[in-house]
Amino acid sequence: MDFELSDELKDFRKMVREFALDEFTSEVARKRDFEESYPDDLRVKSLQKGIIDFSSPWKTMVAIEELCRVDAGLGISVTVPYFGAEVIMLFGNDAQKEKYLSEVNKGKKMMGLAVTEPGGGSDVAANKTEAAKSGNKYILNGSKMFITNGQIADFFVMLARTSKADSAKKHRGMSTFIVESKFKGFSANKLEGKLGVRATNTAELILNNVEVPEENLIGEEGKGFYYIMTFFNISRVFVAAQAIGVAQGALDRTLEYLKNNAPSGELQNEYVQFTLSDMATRIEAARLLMYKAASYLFQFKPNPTITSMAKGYASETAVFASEKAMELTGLYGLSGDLERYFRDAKIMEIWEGTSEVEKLIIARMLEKESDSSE
Amino acid sequence: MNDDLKLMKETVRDFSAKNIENIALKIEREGIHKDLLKKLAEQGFLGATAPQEYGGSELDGASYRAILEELSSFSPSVGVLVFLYNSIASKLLNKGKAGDYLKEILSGESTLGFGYGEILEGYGNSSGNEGSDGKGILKKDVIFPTANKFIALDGSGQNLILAKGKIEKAKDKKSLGIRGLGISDVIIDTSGTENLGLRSDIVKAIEDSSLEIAAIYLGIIKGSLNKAIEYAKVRTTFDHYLKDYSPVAFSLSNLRAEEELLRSYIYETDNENGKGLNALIFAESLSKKATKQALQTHGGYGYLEDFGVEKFYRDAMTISTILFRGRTDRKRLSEEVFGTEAGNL
Ligand SMILES: Cc1cc2nc3c(=O)[nH]c(=O)nc-3n(C[C@H](O)[C@H](O)[C@H](O)COP(=O)(O)OP(=O)(O)OC[C@H]3O[C@@H](n4cnc5c(N)ncnc54)[C@H](O)[C@@H]3O)c2cc1C
Repeated sequence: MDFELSDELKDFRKMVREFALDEFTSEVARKRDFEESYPDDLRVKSLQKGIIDFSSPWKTMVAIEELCRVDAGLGISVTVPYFGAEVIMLFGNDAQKEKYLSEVNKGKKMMGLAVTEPGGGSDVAANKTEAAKSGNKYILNGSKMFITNGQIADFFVMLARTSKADSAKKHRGMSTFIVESKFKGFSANKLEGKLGVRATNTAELILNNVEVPEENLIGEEGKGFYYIMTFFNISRVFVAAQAIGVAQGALDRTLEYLKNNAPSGELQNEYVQFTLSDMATRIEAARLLMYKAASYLFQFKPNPTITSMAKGYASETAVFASEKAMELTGLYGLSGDLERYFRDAKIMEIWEGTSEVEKLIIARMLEKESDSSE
Repeated sequence: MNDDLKLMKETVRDFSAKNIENIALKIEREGIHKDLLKKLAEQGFLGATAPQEYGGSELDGASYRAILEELSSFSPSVGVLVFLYNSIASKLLNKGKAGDYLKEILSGESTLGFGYGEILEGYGNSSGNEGSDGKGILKKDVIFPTANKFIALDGSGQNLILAKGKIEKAKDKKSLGIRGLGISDVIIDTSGTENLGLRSDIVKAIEDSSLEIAAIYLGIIKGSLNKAIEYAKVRTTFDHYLKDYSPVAFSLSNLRAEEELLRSYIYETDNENGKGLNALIFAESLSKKATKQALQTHGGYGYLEDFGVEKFYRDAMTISTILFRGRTDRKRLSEEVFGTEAGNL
C-alpha cells in the first residue's frame, strides 16, 4: 500500500495547477458564470498544453481535480468534451473508434452522453426513446434531458429502446448508438438558468425520426443498459475528482481569506479551527476513497461498491465544504468567488447517479457481496 | 394561533398567490418592480409596523411575522425587503427630513437601499474613495443597489447617513441570493446627506429582530418543502412515487415536523431574554437543511431556476450571511445560557 502518487503524476499535478491558476482567473470564471457561455478557447488551450491526456486515466483524474479546484465550471468544461468516450472505447468497433473517437482525442470534435430523459434520470431502464429498425437504419424518436454539451457536441452516445419494454426486464431491449447532431430530425434546446456549473453547456435533445445508420450501433443490440452502467462505474470516479476539487478549492480559499483578509485572530478561534479540521478531514477521506476506487478501476478490476462510495461521499463533501466556506468567510465569500463554489458543488449530488442512487447501489452490492462470502 | 393571525396569514397568502407566485421567476431575473412595491404598500405590508404618521400600519409583532413568513414562502426577496423597511428603515428614518423619505418608500413611490456590507463590518469609506471627485464613495455589498437612496456609513465609519442615489453601478455579477433586490458594490453620492444616528443603532435594530429574521427563514423552509412535497407526490422513479420511498418520505416529513415546531415557537414568543435567538439559531440551520433536501428531491430539475426551488437554497445561504451573524449570534446565545461572557476562544 502506497499513499503517494508517482513522481510523474506529482509533476503533472503541478503543471495542471499552474495552468489552472494562470488561465482560470476570477474574471474569466465570473464572466462565463454570468453569461452561461462555454469557454471554447480554454478547451483548445488545455489540449495544446497537454493538460488533457487520455492515455493515462490517472492523469485525467488528477487533472479534473486540480482544474475544478480552481473553478468547477471551467474545469468541467475543458474536460467534458470527451464525456462518454469510454463507451466507444470499450464496446465500439475499430471503424467507430477511428471515425469518432480519434477526432475527439485530437480536439477536432466534441461529444456527449445522452441517457437521461424528461421522465427520468435515476431510473435509466424506464427510458422511452425508441429506435426502430428499418432496413439498414434505425429510426430514433424521443427526447433527452439535461444533456451536457447538448448544443455544442458533434455527436452523442445515446441510449434508446430497440425492443418493447417487458415490464419485468425493462433494462433489456436497450441499445446504444452514435448519433450525430447534424443528422436530420435532431435538434437541441439550450437549458438556461442553472444554479451552477454555468460555463458548461446543457440542453434538451429532441429526436424526430432521426435516421441512424446501422453501423452506428455500438456493440450488440440489447446490451445498451449494461454498457451505460459500465460507463457510470468509470465516470463516477471522475465525478468524485470534480467534487474533491471543489471541496479542496473551497478550503484553499477559506484559508487564504483567514490568513490574509480576515480580522486578526480569526484563525485562533476554536470554532473556526474545528470547522477547518472537519473540512480537511472529510476531503482527505473522500480523496482516499477515490484513489482506492481508481486503483481498482484502472487495473481493470472495477469495484462498484467503492466507486459509489467515493462518488457519493465526495459529492457530500463538496457540498459540506462549500457551505462551511461560506459560513467562515461571510460577506467576503458572498461577494467573491466562494459563492460560486457553493452553487457549483450541488450538481455533484445530482449528476451521474444522485446520492440516493449511490446508496441504493452500495446497499445492493453489500447484499450480493455478503451472499458470495458465505 | 388565534383567528386574527390565521386571517392575516390567509390574506397574505392570497395576496402572494395572486401577485407574486406568477412573477416569482421574473423577480429573480429582473428584480422587484415598482408595481409590486405599490401593491405591497397598498396592502400595508411595506410599513407593517411603522407609525401611522408615516403611512405605516402599526401592526403587532405576530402579525408582522406572519407577513414575513408568507411573503418569504413565495419570494424571500420580497420578505427581506419588507423586513428591511420595517425592522430597520422605519426605526432610523422616523425623524426630520428623513421622515418625508420614509413616507415615500413606504408608499412604494421611492426605494431605499442599504450599504449593508460596510454597516455590518463597521468600516466607513476607508474601503476606498473611488469617486475621486469627492462626491461618490464606493460602498460594498449594497442591498438593493438600484434604489433611489441609501442608508450608509459616513466617512468616520460610525455615523449612519441617508445618502442620495448611486452614481455608478459596479460591474455585472448576479448576487448569490435575494436577487429580487440584488447585492452589489456601488458608488454612492454622499453630498448633502441626512444624519440618521449611529452605526450601533442599526446593529441594535438587527439584534432586536431575531424572531423576525427567523420568520423569514420559516417562510423559506415552508416554501421549499411545499414544492418538494408536491413534487414527491407526482414524480415517479422505478414505478413508484417518490413519496413512497422511505428516505424521501422520512426526510421531508421530519423537516416539516421541525418547521411546525419552529412556527409555534415564533408566534408564541417575543424577542426578550434571548428567546428570539433560540428561534433564529434553530431556523438558520433548519433552512439550510430544508432547502438542500427540497432541491435534491427535484433531481436535475431542482438545479434549474424554472422550477423555483433552487432560489430557496441560494437565499437561505445569503440570508445566513447578511442577517445572521454566525459566531456573533452564537456567542450572544451562549451568553444568555451561561449568564456571563462565554464562547470567546
Ligand atoms: C447540469 C446537468 C447536467 C447533466 N448532464 C447529463 C448528461 O450529460 N447526460 C445525461 O444522460 N444526463 C445528464 N444529467 C442528468 C442527471 O444525470 C439526472 O438529473 C440525474 O440522474 C437524476 O435524474 P432526474 O433528474 O430525472 O431525477 P429523478 O430520477 O426524478 O430523481 C428525483 C429525486 O428522487 C430521488 N430518488 C429517485 N429514486 C429513488 C429511490 N428509489 N429511493 C430514494 N430516492 C430516489 C433521486 O435521488 C432524486 O433526489 C445532467 C443533469 C444536470 C442537472
